Amino acid sequence: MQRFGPALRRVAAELDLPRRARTALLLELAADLEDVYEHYRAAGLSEAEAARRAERMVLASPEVIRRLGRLHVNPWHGWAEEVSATLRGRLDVLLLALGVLPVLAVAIGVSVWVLAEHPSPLTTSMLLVGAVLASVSAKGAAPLLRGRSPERAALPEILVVAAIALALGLFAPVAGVWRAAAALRDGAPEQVLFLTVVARDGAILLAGLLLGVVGLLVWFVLLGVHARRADREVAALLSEDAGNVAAAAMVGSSDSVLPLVRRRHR
Amino acid sequence: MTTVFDSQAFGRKIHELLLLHELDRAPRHGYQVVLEIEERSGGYFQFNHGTLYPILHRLEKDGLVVGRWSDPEKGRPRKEYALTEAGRTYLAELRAEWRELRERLEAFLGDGERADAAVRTRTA
Repeated sequence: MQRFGPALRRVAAELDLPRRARTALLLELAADLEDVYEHYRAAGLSEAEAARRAERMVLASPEVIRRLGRLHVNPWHGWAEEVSATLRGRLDVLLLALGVLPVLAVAIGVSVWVLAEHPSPLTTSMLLVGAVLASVSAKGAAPLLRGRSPERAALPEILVVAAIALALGLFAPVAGVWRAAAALRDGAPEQVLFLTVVARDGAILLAGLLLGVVGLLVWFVLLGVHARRADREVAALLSEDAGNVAAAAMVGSSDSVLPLVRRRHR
Repeated sequence: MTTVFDSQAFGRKIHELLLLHELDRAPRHGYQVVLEIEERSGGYFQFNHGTLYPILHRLEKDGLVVGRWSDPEKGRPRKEYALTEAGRTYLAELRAEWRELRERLEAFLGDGERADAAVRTRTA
């Protein structure tokens, strides 16, 4: 890989892409460079000629790099990755986790209480959404326990489930007022209706909001961890210092965006 | 409805047609697609200076191809691209467009070729 290090560094310097896209593209270029080089070597070309042809075929010109930049522009995602990745220390993550856990506990407590006191299809749905959110969050974070990068595919799922929780929470009071109006028309006592709307639907709204916030926080933290690992791996790929590469290889993982680094330095 | 030739999209569509046609034969890594196209066309079609990647990445973004990293435990990891169902449908459209273009071009040039042949006959 060091054979193409200088060329890759030139491309990397011009790649103004979101972290993930930049990392994935550099890895793809690096892998393709090696394979094209080997193809031409097998065809009998000299090392220098094989390397020259591989670079000509694979490495992007400045114009192509600009086109790639336009293709991968996603301001929101780029911003979120940037902000999340600046949470460098364990302390930041710990503080976030301390923020998440109490909120999660309150959300679960409220949901369970409401379900027990005022069971309804909405409360059951909210509990199910909470369980799904816990499940996809665990799926996303589980690789961290094995020292790997968070499961990237789980990140959009976390966002979707958090959005569902928010939507369900916001829907509850609307549905509650609708039901209360219908019950009032049928002559139901106002006090009972008030309790129903405030206690049950208000609690579902609260649970929905809290679950939504928890989902966003989990997504944010995992995105940051992923982005920081990608940074280290790209730095290792572009580094001329073999020690750096070996060090980065220690943090690489099979689901890493730069698995090449890990494999080459076993 | 009359179809109109889009000259601006012509180059892009030729590249897409080549890539998708190659991926339709089998899932391949980026470099494999390029080498196959180059070899099978006798070097006539080439993707130099990384021109492959914007096309491939846009096809991936549009859901026409899907790229997956191979397992690093099973050798050097590479990104392999495969055609999706949407990609197959789009490829069929591109092939149809290409056939229409070829037929219309041949019909258009046919008049000129007949005139050339008549001139050759007269001068012979």
